[in-house]
Amino acid sequence: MFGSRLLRPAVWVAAMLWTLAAPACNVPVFRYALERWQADPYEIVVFHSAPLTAEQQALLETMEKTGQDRLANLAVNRVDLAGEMSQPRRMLWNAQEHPTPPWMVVRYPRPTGIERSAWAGPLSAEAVGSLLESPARRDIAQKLLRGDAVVWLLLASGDKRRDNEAGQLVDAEIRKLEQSLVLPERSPLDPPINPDLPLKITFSTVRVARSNPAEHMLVNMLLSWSTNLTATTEVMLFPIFGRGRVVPPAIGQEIRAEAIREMAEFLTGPCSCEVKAMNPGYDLLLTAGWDSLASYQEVMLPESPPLISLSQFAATAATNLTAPPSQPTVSLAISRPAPEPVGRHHLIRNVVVVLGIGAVFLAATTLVLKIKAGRRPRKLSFLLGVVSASVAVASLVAALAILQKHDARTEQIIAAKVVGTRQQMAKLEDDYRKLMLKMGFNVLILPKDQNLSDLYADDFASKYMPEEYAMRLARSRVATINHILPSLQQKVKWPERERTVLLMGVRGEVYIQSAQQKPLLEPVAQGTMILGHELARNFALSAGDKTPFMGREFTVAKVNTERGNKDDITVWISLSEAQELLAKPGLINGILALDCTCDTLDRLGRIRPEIARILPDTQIIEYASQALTRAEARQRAAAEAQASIQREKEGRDQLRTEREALAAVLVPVVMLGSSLWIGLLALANVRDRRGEIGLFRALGLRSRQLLLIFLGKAIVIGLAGACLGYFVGRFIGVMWREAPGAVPIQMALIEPRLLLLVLVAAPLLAALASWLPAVCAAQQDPAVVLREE
Amino acid sequence: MSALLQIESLSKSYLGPMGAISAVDEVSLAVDAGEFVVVQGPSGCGKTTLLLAAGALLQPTRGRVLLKGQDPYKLSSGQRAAFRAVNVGFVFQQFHLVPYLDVLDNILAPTLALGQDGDVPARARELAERFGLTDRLRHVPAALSTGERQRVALARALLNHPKLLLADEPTGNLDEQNGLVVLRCLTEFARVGGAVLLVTHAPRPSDHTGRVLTMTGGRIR
Repeated sequence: MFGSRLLRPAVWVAAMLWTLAAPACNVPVFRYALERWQADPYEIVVFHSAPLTAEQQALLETMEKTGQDRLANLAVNRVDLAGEMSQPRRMLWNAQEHPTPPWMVVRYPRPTGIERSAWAGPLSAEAVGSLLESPARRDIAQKLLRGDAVVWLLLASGDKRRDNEAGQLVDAEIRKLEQSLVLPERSPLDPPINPDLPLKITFSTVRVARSNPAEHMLVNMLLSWSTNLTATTEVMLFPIFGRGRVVPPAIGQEIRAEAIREMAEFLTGPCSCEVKAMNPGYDLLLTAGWDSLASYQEVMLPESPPLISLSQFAATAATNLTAPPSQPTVSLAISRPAPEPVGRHHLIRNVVVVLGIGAVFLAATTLVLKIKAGRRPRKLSFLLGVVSASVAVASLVAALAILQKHDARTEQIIAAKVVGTRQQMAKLEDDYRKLMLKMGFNVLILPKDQNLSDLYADDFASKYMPEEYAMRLARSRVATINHILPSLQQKVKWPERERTVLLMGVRGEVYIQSAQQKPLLEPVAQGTMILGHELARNFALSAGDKTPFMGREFTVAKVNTERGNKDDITVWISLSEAQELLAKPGLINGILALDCTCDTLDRLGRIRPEIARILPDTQIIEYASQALTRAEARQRAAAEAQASIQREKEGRDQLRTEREALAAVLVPVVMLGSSLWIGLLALANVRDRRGEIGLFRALGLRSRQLLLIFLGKAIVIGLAGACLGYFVGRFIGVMWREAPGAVPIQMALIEPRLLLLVLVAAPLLAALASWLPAVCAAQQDPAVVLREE
Repeated sequence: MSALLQIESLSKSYLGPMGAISAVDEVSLAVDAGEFVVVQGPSGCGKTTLLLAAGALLQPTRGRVLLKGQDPYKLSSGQRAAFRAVNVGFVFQQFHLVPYLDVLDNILAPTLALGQDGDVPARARELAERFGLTDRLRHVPAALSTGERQRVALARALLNHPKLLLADEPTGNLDEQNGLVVLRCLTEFARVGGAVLLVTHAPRPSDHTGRVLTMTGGRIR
């Protein structure tokens, strides 16, 4: 069972608690985790004594930036051994075995409570590279990002039979589960999920060998938290979901169909939507663009907006507000991607590479010719053949590796771009919202029998409804509006000042339970009032002054700035005092609100039916210009952001196409050249060994045997060239960096399928290239040779 | 009883730029087991062509060659190669040693065609000892004297216990002393039942007591 030896009780108790505590949310666990649960950061503690070198500094900055940009879930902490250290840091340092500064310690995320370190070792480019990424982790992230419910990671034991049995069992079971498991039925009350990512049950597997050096960091993350795990050499199965949350493994014989099914049912079942900590597992350190999947964006307002009144809402502003404000658009423009320097320097580099290869061929040919003038270059000929085959293989492998790296880098860039754009969008939304708030609430809920003509004529509603309506609205988790503000407003005589004013009683916002919102305004405290600019000016009142109002004494809490509308002659007091003064206990005559962040221009078409279901005795009006402005601006900003990402993608795609096109020409040309060269070398070899061939034929060697000897030699050349070329090409690909300072992309030196391919293809190619010379050798007439020799 | 090597009315002509050139013309010859026959004649008289045809290496234009009563040219190319490997040993004026193989491997070269059974390496060493090459086993041909090279070629020719030894100017590149060693070896081979056909442009070898045939213009007189 998953985590049975170590955490089985905890895992399942947590799961039970989680299930019992779950309110009505039918988003599957894996999907909720993917969209809502931030991956907990690993703490990278770097101990150093002497000043860091430029390279070490760059490595740290790379890690720090990766963490800050939320490309990976990590946070870097530098600890100067020469300075003062906290007790925990000192203990951590003392716990290290033979550390040599700068020394890097990778700590599991704090919420896991795991005290053991995931990994520790010298700070180096290799360590940082393998920490940030590895082929398996990149694969896992890609699979989760494309919507796979669970990635089942099989940590191989090294016992091929056991590993294969476990792998086959997992494969068979997850294929069955994909067909049999059913997603929970969605509820209208469910939180929204990203509509661009299909919700479906798809499982995938990733197999990792313990001994794979490219995955040593992943293996450490999986095992190091428990001495039991590190001591176990059996095959293990780790389910991974969400943003790389890994559940303790099933080990050896525990990898059974029932265990896989139970875990799959749990992870594809309905979730509590909220409590990540109550769920089993911990997060892996992954570099991925998770934020691109979030279906919501939390926007916080930096400051409270001004108090507004019905008058402002009802005012028919002459200003044309349909055009979006220019400032946010400018800020978005700044975020557009700087074009990557493509094209020319790549071309120059590639031309240099081609010329270099040509020069090597020329040099080799010259050498051969010179040596041929002396003694037979048999070994040199073989060596040149190997070099030639390796050049062909290396060009192919390097081209593939570079394209592979390009793709990985593209994902990085796009992920970063998505994150950046989302942040810009959040800021933009915030800017728009602030601008919109200056225009006031844009939805007004009124008693159903309120005559709108009277409203517009009098500036306040003459019909009343229970204040409880606002609470009912909030409790209902209404989705199409937010920021609910009940109010009681009436034009009254300020008897002590003999002035007609607008009295507005407000109690502050009633919070919608499901919304995480910052209030647009704070309530007015009992015994205090907020004055409109004109009233304060006329009566020479300022904050702190006391003044009677309708028989009660109020303290002026604040004087609003001049707004040029009826707010300037409005008095805001608390709703309960307004109800008492107006003899309307428990009543209000309007509920102000902001419309939702709907992506449609027909907001009223969505708001009215929902409000009507909750408050049938009401009617809704909307200030169209404000609403339209807001919706259009948001849509335009979103479109611009999307276009920005699209431009980046297109740029990268174009670069890839260019590289692919170059490789498509260069690699075949190099392979053809190499093949010709191998063929020429074989022909020269046949000519050099003419006497030998005649002799062996005279001694009884058959034509077919001779043919096989020459083809065999070509195959050996191909095999040696494949091995050499593969590692040279792969090394070039691994070392390749698209841009200085770019986050290193880890790539395994050995890609088994590619290695196998070149080990088959290169000998075949060499044999084909040597075919004609070999046939020539086999067809030689020994009598002619012996007579001429 | 038929001869070990029976050549009947053998003719061989080559196609040259001026038309067909007759190298061997209606030559008939029989060599019995235990016989050492020398064919003497000037350069270009067709001696080497006769030797190659006798050794199943060169298809005659007309006539036939019977070795141990079998016509090798009626066999397939592969069968003929195997037949040659089993029955015929060659010794050339130019030795034709493989330059990158040492003495022992050169002696063992015929096993490339026939494979190697258990006593072949021992026989190779025995032959090397017989020809005074024991201390030269790991030397490559370039490190040997001319006489030593020819002795290696002789040892190689004898490895498979051939019935017929064909020698083309085997002493042509040797000094008198080394030439005598080679001739004695060939004589010994014939004495123990083998057949030797030697072609040379030189006068009759001094130690030779067998038949000597003269060849001129492609014919034996």
